[in-house]
Amino acid sequence: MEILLGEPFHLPRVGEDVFRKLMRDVRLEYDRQKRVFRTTPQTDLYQLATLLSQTLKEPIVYAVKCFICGSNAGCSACEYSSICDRLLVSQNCICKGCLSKEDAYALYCMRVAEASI
Amino acid sequence: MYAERFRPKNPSMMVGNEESRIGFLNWLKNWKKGSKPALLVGPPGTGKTTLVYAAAETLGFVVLEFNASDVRTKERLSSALLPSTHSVSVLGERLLVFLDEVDGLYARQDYGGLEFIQTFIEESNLPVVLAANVEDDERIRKLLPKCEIFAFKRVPPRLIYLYLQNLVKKEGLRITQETLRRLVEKAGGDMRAALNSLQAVLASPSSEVVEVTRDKMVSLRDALNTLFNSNDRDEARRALEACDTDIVEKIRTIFSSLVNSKLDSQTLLRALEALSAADELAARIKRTQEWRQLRYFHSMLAYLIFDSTPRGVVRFSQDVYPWSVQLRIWNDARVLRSIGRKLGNLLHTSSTEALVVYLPYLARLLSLLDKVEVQRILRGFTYDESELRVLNKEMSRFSK
Repeated sequence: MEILLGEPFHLPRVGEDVFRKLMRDVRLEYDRQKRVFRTTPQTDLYQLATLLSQTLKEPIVYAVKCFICGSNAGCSACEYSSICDRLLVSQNCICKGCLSKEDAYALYCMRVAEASI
Repeated sequence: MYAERFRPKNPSMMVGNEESRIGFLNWLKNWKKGSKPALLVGPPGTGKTTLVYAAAETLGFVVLEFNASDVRTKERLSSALLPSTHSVSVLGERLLVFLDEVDGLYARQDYGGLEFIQTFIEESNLPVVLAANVEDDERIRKLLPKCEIFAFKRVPPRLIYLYLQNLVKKEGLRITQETLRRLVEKAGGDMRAALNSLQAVLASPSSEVVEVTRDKMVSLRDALNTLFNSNDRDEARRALEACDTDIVEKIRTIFSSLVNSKLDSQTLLRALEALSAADELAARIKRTQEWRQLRYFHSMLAYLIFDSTPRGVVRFSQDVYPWSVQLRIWNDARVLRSIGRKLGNLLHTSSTEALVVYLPYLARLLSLLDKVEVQRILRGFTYDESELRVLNKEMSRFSK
């Protein structure tokens, strides 16, 4: 299962105990109306991966999204994938397409400014 | 220094940790008297200090910065901070109190400092921002419920590249793309290290990329997660070395992680034996104060635990006892308090005194009597079923 950090994702019913752990220990965010989970900067990604892989019996892979265009940043093809631990870095990155743009840094700053309004 | 010269003046000009940056900016924008103070937690070089200054400048605050690891005794802290609690502005500008490296304060065992900060943040008329490198320290955890937490993580390499690339272009610096890429790789998510390395590379005739890092610290949680999950023994050792938590606390947390994880009894036994060997060395280091042996301690601890536990099974936990045992202790403590209250009423004393002074005598006396007689006496105390169960447990300690 791939989880895009900071983006909503669905989970099958995991049981009361696991759900409580996800909320209390892992510090995952849950939207009761939309019934979706979301990681935040406070989420313990190690625990989340361990707990979900044990519960769902499948490996958990994290991906980060491009802060400029919102798409998957493409970690598997990233030139820094061997040195970038996705459990330790912040939730957004930049995709190759946006990075190659002439004004990539200005676009990035603009997106942050827009998001903080 | 490049790290100072090219420090962003606006929060939107920084890179990485977008959600925490935006959250902190909104916290400061909406701050009013009575709001919780902000606690920025994350490794060095992730932008905590830069954000405080950039946000303050953007929103018109003047920062009063105190480095908690410099001004760390209660007396010095109070003389530095108390005058500011009653001030609101300087020449019409609003003030913001920034206490950097609060974990440095606690690591040095400065008694009274923590209590002072706890009181200070509750009474201050000004927005207070605290910054720390690690969250897992027991003393920092005391501050967590009182603060609005903004977690900072390492900056993704591509974003460091983006920032440096823009800087190189803007300043007209002469550096090859390959060197820039190697520089990003060496930075390890630390923006300050990347900027300092860039400066070092530009100053060096060989353009050799050297690792320029400040005290790169790893939280206890990250260090132990690496120890339990990594497939590389040396990586596990390096993670333990990079974590500056007290060695006894490391042993204690590894112990609680082991006993709370689902390990079969043989594996658990092997792991606990390994841990006890490291514990002996830790005790010797503490006793003899031979801190040079610390490097052997970390190697020993990392390699022994690495070799005795399966990868990815042990889960970080700071609960000393498994939850079921904790629950039992908690329940018994609750019942004991109630026993103390009833006994205290009867003896016209406080419940604490009744528990500490009189209950052991009562339990000893009752342990000498036969069961029927004991039940008759205890009914006279109006103890209920759960209280009788706990009292019987106390009595059984003496009858053994």
